[in-house]
Amino acid sequence: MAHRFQLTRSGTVFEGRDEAIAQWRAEYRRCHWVKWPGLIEPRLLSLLQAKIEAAEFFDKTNVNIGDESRMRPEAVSAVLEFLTNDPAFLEVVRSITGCDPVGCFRGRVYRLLPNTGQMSDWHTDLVHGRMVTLSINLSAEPYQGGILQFRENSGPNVVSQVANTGAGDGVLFKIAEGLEHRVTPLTGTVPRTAYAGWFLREPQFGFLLRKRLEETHATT
Amino acid sequence: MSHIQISKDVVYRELDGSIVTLSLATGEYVELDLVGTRIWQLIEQDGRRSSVREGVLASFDIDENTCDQELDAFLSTLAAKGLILITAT
Repeated sequence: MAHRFQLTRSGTVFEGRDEAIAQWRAEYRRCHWVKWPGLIEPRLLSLLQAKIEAAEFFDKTNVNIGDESRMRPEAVSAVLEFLTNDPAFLEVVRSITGCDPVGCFRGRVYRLLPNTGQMSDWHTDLVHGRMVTLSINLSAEPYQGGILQFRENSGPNVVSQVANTGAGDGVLFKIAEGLEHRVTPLTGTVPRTAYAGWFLREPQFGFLLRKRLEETHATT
Repeated sequence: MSHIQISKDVVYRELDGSIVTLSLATGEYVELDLVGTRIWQLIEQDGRRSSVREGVLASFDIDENTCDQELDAFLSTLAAKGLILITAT
């Protein structure tokens, strides 16, 4: 049965849940990742991409991983955080991965530019209480290279890989002892722009959102 | 007659029974109170002002004049924040 799984402006839409969850659980166990084509609603994605195009990026070095261009936090980041912290979405992540509880998702918008040496070298993400990783492709055009690859125990072989090149597609992938991943360097001329980060046990996003509302005193 | 639409660049969800909105244009969070949340839900269901008005009258103990005044004031506030668009039909 076909399913629809999408982050929309009014929340997570999930049709055909039971069958999809069973399939994704199996894929996650087997490949270490699950791919969600068209995770972001297309119309909303276009608005986000337009804002990102006008946003300011700065160079950021991730020690022992590589360099990236990172977007300065602004409304786009807040909206992506809002979407990816929908309780219904967090529940899907919990169901697939078995991580329980899933309190929140913390991410950033970043870019890898071709022919600049920017990359994401082999690493595990196994720090700061991170449980699972999510990367959503926000690139306005298809890019070349930038394949997400996995290896085990620093072995010589890539045991699994996935291209996340469809606009608005999301890839959820495992964090585990000895499981390393990397993003291969970009070829061609198009940068790779993504919203990527990690699901954490805590804090609960409802708590963070309440704090943000109190900071802005925004009640109508 | 007028028609009310939630702006395309606004994301929203319920938090503890209240609608919380976030605008992509401004980055501003807004939490609606009980009445505001009901009005938002009515807009989602059917954006005709007349339908929203009927829904408000059915949901709250309020007379028609007060309803009109308060509904218009509330909708103007939402429109000023860019959360909705009001168009004459």
